[in-house]
Amino acid sequence: MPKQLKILVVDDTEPNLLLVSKFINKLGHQTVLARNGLEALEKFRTESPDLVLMDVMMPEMDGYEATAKIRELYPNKWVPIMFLTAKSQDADHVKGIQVGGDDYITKPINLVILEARIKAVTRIAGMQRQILENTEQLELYRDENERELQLAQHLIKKITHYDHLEHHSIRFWNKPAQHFSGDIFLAALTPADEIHLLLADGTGHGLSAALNVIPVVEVFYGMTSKGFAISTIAQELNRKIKQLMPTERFVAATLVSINLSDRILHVWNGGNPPALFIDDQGVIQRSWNSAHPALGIFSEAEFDAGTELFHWDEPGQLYLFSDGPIEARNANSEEFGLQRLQQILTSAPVEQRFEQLMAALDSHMDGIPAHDDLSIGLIQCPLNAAEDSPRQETVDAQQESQALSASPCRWKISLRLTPSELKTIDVVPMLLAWMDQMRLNTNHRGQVFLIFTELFNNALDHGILNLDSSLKSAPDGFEQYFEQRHQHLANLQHGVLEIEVERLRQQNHEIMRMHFKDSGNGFDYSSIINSDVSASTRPSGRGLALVKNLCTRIEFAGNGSEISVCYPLD
Amino acid sequence: MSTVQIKTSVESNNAKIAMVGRFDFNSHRQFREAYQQVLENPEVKEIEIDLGAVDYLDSSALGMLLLLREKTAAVHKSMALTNCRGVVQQVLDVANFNKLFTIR
Repeated sequence: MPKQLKILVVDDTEPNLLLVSKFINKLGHQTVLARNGLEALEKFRTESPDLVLMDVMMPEMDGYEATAKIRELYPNKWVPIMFLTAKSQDADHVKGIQVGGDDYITKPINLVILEARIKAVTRIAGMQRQILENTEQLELYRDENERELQLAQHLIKKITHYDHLEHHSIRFWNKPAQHFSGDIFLAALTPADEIHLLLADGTGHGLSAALNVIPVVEVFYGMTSKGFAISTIAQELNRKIKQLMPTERFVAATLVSINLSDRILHVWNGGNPPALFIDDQGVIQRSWNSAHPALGIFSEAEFDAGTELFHWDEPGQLYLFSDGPIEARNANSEEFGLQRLQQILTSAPVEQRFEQLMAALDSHMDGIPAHDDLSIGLIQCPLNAAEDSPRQETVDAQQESQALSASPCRWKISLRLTPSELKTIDVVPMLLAWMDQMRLNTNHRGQVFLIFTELFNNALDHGILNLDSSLKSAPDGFEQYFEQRHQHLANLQHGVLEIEVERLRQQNHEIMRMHFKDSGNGFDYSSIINSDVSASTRPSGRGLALVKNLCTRIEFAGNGSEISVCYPLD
Repeated sequence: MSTVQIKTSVESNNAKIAMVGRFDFNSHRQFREAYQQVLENPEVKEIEIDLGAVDYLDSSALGMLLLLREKTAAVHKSMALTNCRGVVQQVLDVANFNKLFTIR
């Protein structure tokens, strides 16, 4: 070892001290001398030697005691201690090692042996030091990593909860495989008070999986608040993930929209285990298997945004899962499995299902760390009555800026839509986006969205596509209706829908006039004009009755294919 | 630590990559080494991934298959997944990989 060492030599006999220290100096090392155990302790503290040569029999404090003290006082600093002993019994050597010594040399000292031993011990000391340094570095790295993970965890939590809809009828359970979950569960309200849910599971787990799902969050919340349908959202999510992520990364997702008043669920499942709708008696009324590859795999042209629809007659619970719960393994590497999961959900009393499933998963895994993130989302349909109207916690910076612009605007928008536009454009969100640009007060957004939706659907479904809304009252009617709508629209050749929206002042009131005209055959509107919303129980008639309630004036023209309504803005 | 074994064999225009064991993230390097060879082989027209002896397949494995699909298309070769059964079949079904791959 080329390095110069500082060696503490402890001996109460002056000639020994001299002999050993001279020899060590000759080897090129530095010496520090002590004449008893107490002095040795003091010198050890002040000089920090690299190696100690310790006599055993000394006045004041002997070598054993001094060694024991050094080991006790400096538990984290390992310096080799070698006994120089006249005692040559095995028991003495054992005692030396027991109190913390590392080696011994019997007196009289053979200098060749001493040199060899010093080399051996310093080599070990060198390795020891290296290990300590590495450990320190590892600890630093781990602490640094820990801090970064905490920050990332905080950010991801903030991002995913930013716009989250809170309601006790919506629940989520997540057990991450690492610090982070690559699974997310989001819930949000559309302007028309439909609920959108998303359970997404990014490839892999941990931070990289969590990074996968971040772009998903923004798109989901943003498009939901603008009123886009989940099929349009799925399309955009797919496009975005494909664009941002490398090929081998994708996001399995279940998207759901819930129309509480019509009791309709739309589900898009790409790559997740089946979503289940279970009624209060424990019967699985409907399950939605994965019908598509996960998001981020198909190109825009290949992507299928088709959703599957369900109309619930009896109340129930909708369950969404990532593959984690199904694939959770116990000590014998046995999967929890879909069958066991369904068995628990269908046999437990409705109010205990969620808890029983969590408990069963916990006991199945019995403390074994999960391979993958586990997620279960639940929504009660309908929502629990105690809190029937969900409200979203959103920060609306727009409202302030609107308050500042006091001068009223006057504008008019006219649109003429032919089949090619009707097939490709999500018209209502587009109209609503224009309203935002026109600084329509956000307090009116929900109502205006509803009016647009009703008038547009009415004109398109009945005017242009010629659908019969009495279909809906038949069993399975909703499914058939939507299927027909889908087909008629795909095959549409002729037809025009004209829309005018205008902001004006009439008799000292600020109003918005909305005019829809379709090329269809019209209908007998007298019954609608005279009915009121509470009396109308048919799903079809209810739409226009709602519009009538929100507007100061509603007028039909021609054969009924033209409708004009005035909505009060003040 | 990898728990998969990969055997590659080439017979005229067909290269077969047979996987045994657990095909997951830890197989990444081995899998890449295996397909890299056959991708570079100009004789090979079709790459067959034999999943018959795979007892588990995770989403990272699906990702690797997608990556290989892209790479084989780029060098104008074709690709097929074969002998998929049991859990492997289930995972491929849930992922709807039949819409993306030739599965025999």
